[in-house]
This record gives sequence, C-alpha cells and structure tokens, in this order.
Amino acid sequence: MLSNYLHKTTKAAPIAVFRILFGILMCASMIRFWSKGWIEQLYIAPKFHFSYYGFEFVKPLGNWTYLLFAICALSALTVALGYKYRISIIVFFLSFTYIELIDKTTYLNHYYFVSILSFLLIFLPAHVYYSIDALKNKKLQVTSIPQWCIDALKLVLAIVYIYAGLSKINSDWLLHAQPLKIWLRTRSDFPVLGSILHYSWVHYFFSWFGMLYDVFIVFFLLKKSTRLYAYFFVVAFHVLTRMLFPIGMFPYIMIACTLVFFDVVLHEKIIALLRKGIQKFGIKKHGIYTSNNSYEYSLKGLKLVQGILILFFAIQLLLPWRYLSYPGELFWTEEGYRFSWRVMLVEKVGIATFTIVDSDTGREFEIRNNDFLTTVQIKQMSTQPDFILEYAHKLRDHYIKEGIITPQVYVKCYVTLNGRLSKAFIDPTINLANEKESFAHKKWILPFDGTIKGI
Amino acid sequence: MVKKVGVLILVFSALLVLSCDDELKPSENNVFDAIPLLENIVDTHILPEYDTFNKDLAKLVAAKDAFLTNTTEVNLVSLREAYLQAYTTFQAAGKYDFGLANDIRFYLNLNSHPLNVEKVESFISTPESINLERIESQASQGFPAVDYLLNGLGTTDSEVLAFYTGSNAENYTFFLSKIVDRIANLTQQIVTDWENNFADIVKNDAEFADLIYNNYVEYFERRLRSTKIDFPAGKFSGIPNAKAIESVFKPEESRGLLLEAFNSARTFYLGTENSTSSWSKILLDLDEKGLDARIKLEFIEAEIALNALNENLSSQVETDNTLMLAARDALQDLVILFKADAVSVLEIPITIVDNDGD
Repeated sequence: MLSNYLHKTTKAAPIAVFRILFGILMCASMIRFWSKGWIEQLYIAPKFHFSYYGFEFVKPLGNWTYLLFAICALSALTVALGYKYRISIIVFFLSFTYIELIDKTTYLNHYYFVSILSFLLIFLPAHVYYSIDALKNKKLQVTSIPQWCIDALKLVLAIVYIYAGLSKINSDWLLHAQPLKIWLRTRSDFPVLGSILHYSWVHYFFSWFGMLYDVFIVFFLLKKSTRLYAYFFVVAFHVLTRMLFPIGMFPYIMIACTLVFFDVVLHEKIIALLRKGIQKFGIKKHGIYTSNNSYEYSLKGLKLVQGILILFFAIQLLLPWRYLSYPGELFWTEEGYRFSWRVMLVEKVGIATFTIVDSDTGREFEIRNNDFLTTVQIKQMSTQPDFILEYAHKLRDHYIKEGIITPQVYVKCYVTLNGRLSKAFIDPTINLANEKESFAHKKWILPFDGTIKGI
Repeated sequence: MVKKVGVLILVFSALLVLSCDDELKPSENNVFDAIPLLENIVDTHILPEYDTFNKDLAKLVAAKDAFLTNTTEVNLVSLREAYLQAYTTFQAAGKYDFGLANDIRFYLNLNSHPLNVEKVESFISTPESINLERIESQASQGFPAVDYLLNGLGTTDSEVLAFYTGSNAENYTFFLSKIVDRIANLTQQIVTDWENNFADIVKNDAEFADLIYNNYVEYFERRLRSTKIDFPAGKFSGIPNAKAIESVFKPEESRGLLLEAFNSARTFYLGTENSTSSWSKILLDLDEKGLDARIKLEFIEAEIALNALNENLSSQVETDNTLMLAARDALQDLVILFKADAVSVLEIPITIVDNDGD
C-alpha cells in the first residue's frame, strides 16, 4: 500500500502555484522589512546580538546586511519565476535562515515557518511546471509529480495548525481567556466589532474559536465537501487576526499556502489567468505543456530526499514536545518554548536590573540596560532566561575588559504572566557570570507560583 | 468554484488594504476611560501645582529684589525662606516633563544637581560670559545655584552677606538676580502655555493618557529614584557621592525635599480628595484590587524607608549608605509595579516598539 502511495502521481499545477505565491510573498516581505527601516533598527544599530545556542558563529554583518536582504529578496523572486529554481531556493533558505539566526530577539514562529518551508521546497520539484526553467529545458517539462510532494506541503501546514491548536488547550487560554482578554480590550476602536471587544464573553469566544479552528481546520480543508467553507474560515480568521494584531505578513502567507489543499482544477485556472495576464504585457512566448509526463527523481536522489523528509518530519513532530523534559511551568521558564507553534499564548512584561560586583574590592553597582541593548532587546531579554544569561555573560566580559578581574553578575528580575501580578523570576543570589548555557534546566529560574493546566 | 475562491480573495485583499494603515500605529488606549482621568490630572494636579509653584516664585522674586535693594541679614533670611518654599513646591510641579516643559528642559534647567560650582564661579567673575540657555549650562543654574549663593558661600549669615556687600558684590547680585529671574521666567512660560490652550488639548485627547503615564514612571525612576537617591548612593558606579544630593549646601533640607517629591508622586497615583478619577481608581474600576492594594502597600513601605533616613542625606550616605540603598529598593519595588504589572493591565506601551509580533 505504501509503495502504491509512493508511486501515485498528481498534476503539477498546485505546486507551481504554491511556488509562485510563496516566492512573491517572500520577496514582498523582504522589501517591506527593508522599507520599514527594520534592517537598520534590528540588525545594524544594536551593539550586541543574542545568538541561538549552538549558532554563535552566525554574526551580524553590519551594512552588508542590506546585501543579504537584497540577495534574499532576489532569490525569492527567482523562486517565484522558477528561474534556476534549485539554486534560488537554496540561496533563499540559507540567506533567510542566516538573517533569522543573527539575533533571537526577532524570533517569530512565522519566520521559523518560512525557514522550514523553504528547506522543504529545496527537495520538491516545484519548478517543473510553468517556470522559466521548464520553458528553457524541455527535459524538465512534466505535467505530473509524485503525490507525496504535495502532501509534504500539506503536512507542514497540518503540523503548524494542529500544534498551534494543541498548545492553546490550557487553563489560561480556555478558562481565563488570557492573554486575549488583555489584548482584545485595547482594540475597542476597531470598526464594527470594536464595541463588543471589551465584553468578557467575546474574549472567551475568540479563545475557544481560535483553539478549535487551529486543531480542526486542516481536516475540513482535506475533505472535498467542506473545503470551500473551510477556506472561507481560513480567510476570515487570518484577515481578522491581521486586523487585530500587528502580525505582519503571516496571515497573507497562510492564506496563500492553504490554497495547496484545493484540487488541480483551481490551480490550473489560476495559471491560465496568470498566463492571460502576462500575455497582455506582451510576453507571448511562454507555454504550458499538455504531454503526459511525470516527474521522476533519480533512484539515488529519491532515496536521499525521502530519507531527509522522514527525518525532517520526525523532528517537526517531536520538537514541540521537548518541553516535557523540563521541570516547571513552560510559559514561565520558556524552556522548550520556541519552534513549537506556540503563538500568542503569553503576555509577559519583565523588568531585569543587573548588578555587577567586583570580587576584589567589593565595589558594587547597577547596570543601565539602555547602555548595552535596544528597547526591543530589553523587552525580550527581561522575560526569557536564556537571554538573561547571555546578557549577563556579555556584561561579565565587558567589565573584564574594563579592568575588573572577576566581576560577579546578579540580576533582580520580576515578570508578569498573563495578567498575574509580577513575581521574582530569577534567583537574585546566583552569580550568573559562573552559570553556563546548555540545554539542561536552568536551576536559577525561580518557580512559578500559580498553575497553568493543560498541554 | 474558481469564481467563489476568486471573490473570496478579492474581498480579503480589499479588507487587508483597508486594514493596512492601522498596523503598528499607536492607537488610543481603550482599556479605560481616559478623558475623565485626564481632566482630573490637569485640573487637580497639574494646574494647581504649577499655580502654587508660580505664586511661590513671585514671592521668591520679590524677596530677591528686596534683598538686592537692601542687603541685610533679615532680608537674606527671608530670601532663604522664600527660596526653600519655592524649591519645596517645585517638587510637585517638576513632575511633568512633557509639552513645553520638555521642550525648554524645564526640570533640568531648574534642578540639575550636583551643581557645577566651578562654572558658576566663572559666571560670577565674568558676567559677560553668562549664557544660561546652553545645555552645558544646565548644571550651573536653577535651585542648586540659588542654594549655593544663599547657603554655600559661607557658614554664617554674615559670611554669606559679605559676598553681596564686598568688592565683588555687583557680580554676585547680578548672577543671583539672573538665575532667580530665569527660574521665574521659564515657569511663567509653561504656566502661560497651559492656560492658553495646552490644558484643553490634553483634556480632550485620550492619547495623552499613555504619554502622561510614561512621563510619570520616567519621573519616578529617573528623577525621584535616580537623581535623588541612586546617584548619591553610588548605585550605578559603586562609589557613593554624598555631594550629589539635592540642597547640598544646606543638606539638612535634602530629605524634606525628597519626601515632598515622593508624597507628590504618591498623590498623583492616588488622586487628591477632589479627584473623581485617578490611576488608582482606574485600576479599581478594572477590578484590579490586588494590584492597587500592592501599589498602596509599597508606597507605605517606601515612606517608612524614606523616613528612616537622616534628614541630612549627605551624612546618611557617609554614615550608613545601606539605608539609602534600602530606600532605593523600596522605590524600585514601585517602579516594577508601574512598569510591569500596571502596564500590562492598562495596556500602556512603555515604549512604542515598532516591529511585528506573533
């Protein structure tokens, strides 16, 4: 049965549409990021960057960051065109991922989503239909591709939605409507809906609806009879979230990507429309082909790709559960929090004040975070233990250079979580200069007093 | 079906285009009713506090003029009283560092300490070099300079008086006159601005609530906590500097001024007996009794810590700096409640961060 499935083919139009939309949206994202001045603000201006553990070798590039963004945007465009696709998508994956790895201050689930999606696309034949590559190289031209190629894309989307939904099954989200309660009541200037956004039942409705939507939407998209209604919900849901919250390009990306669940007819019509449009611009000589070839991986290539994909999906499925290996409340410690589709689950505000003690003289003084970090960095640093540790080490190294031989670094940190009163977050008696970063549990995180039940 | 999807996409793009503009634009606060709060802040805090301060300044100017016409010990003593009275009511009026006050650097021009004595002396000896408008002259004027001129020139009244009657008297009277007039003049500008239209603008624009809250927290942290306590206690350097206190030439007044500022900051949170709305009441209306109670409790704790200090903060720093640091920590507990707890309840952006979230 498995081998039957692996030999099943499907039309190539859906993956071509996927490639085009993804490329265009990514190119637009890069231009948008640039035009908002965020390259300067987030990657060039900061004196110090927070690295991902294990990726400390990824360094900021100063003004070359602009070039990196240009390369990234350009490769996204050539992905959309299907021009030198394989190289383009590899360059896109590498440049985009490099940008994201420079500073974890800017971590967003949707950037991670883009990274893994572009990684997956490296191994899929998204350039064999309606692309410049196929136009130039007759050998590439096919009308069908293996079914599993499309299904791999659907599986990624399914993982994103379902894990996002599962993570919402917790007492804060469902029983206290937090943090939506905090966020929604600030939006009563919102047209039409605004007047009801401060009602408690609305917060609960949004919370429950959001959870149910995330968990079940993929199943309704898979089923032909419900697909169109489900897509209506996809559009409505993402448009609404886009309007309520500052979440950038993510809704557009999801609305575009979920089109992959539709069958070939729609995608062929989209391509037909595109062709008509492009022909109006006078570019006549681009065709699609009707011969009935199917894309074949080479035998070696197929094994390699399938092996990589199995590993890839195993990691995707397991990674979100790694938090179970840490003690303490996940939302509080955030150990095992990232890369798990936990979206909009916590509202945290923290204040972290660091004190340096000179071991030799006993001189002790407090740090002003503004001297070292940007506002955005301070905001992220103040609520996340790995940031706090990295910053403490940075301070230690800075004061060693300033002539203090063995500086001790202490932090007083208070954090609020989902509307609770602030509590001490880090053990203020621990000298962070001596603590090491690792994947092990950080014992100097003080326990969370409350309880959050759920997944 | 293609058509349906097409229509859907059209509708959604239209919606996105419509919604695009408001992304990341700070919208006015909708958690609480800002207008009544702003009316109360303006009418029961800002305007009366400026008014009291301005009246005290008129008396200060009059006392200064009287002293200059007749440099007697009696006039010196009453000038000193008028100065202390104005410095005391300044502690309340100095809280509002926005609008014109921010533009003309009101607080910093009136109360930058420690005083740059060297520069003050050079201003006195060469009157034509006096330029108080420059930012570099910030720490060479205002109340700290008056403090120096009235309390710092000698240890007894007759010693001080000698400067205003001796060979260099003209230079001293000229500079004293200049800085007192400047305090009065800067204050008058702000009072006039509030009376002309700024009061109405603030009372009718809900967006000022965020700004005023931010200003309040910044005042609390930077001025009340840092300049009055942290710097003398050496919190950011590890080296205490007893000379950095307010009223350093009459240090026994320093705790009094600190308490005045503290009490005024507390009243700002609680509201006066005439207030129908205040930050405290807003929290209670939002059903945040726990947070409000904790803030009130921390105010009491901070008051106890401040009262435990010597009235002379300079000698407190020199004899037992730990009490200074304890008072500082008590104020810091309030900063945490204001900057972490209250902002997440009130949804006030502490700084508007221009970036996507998820």
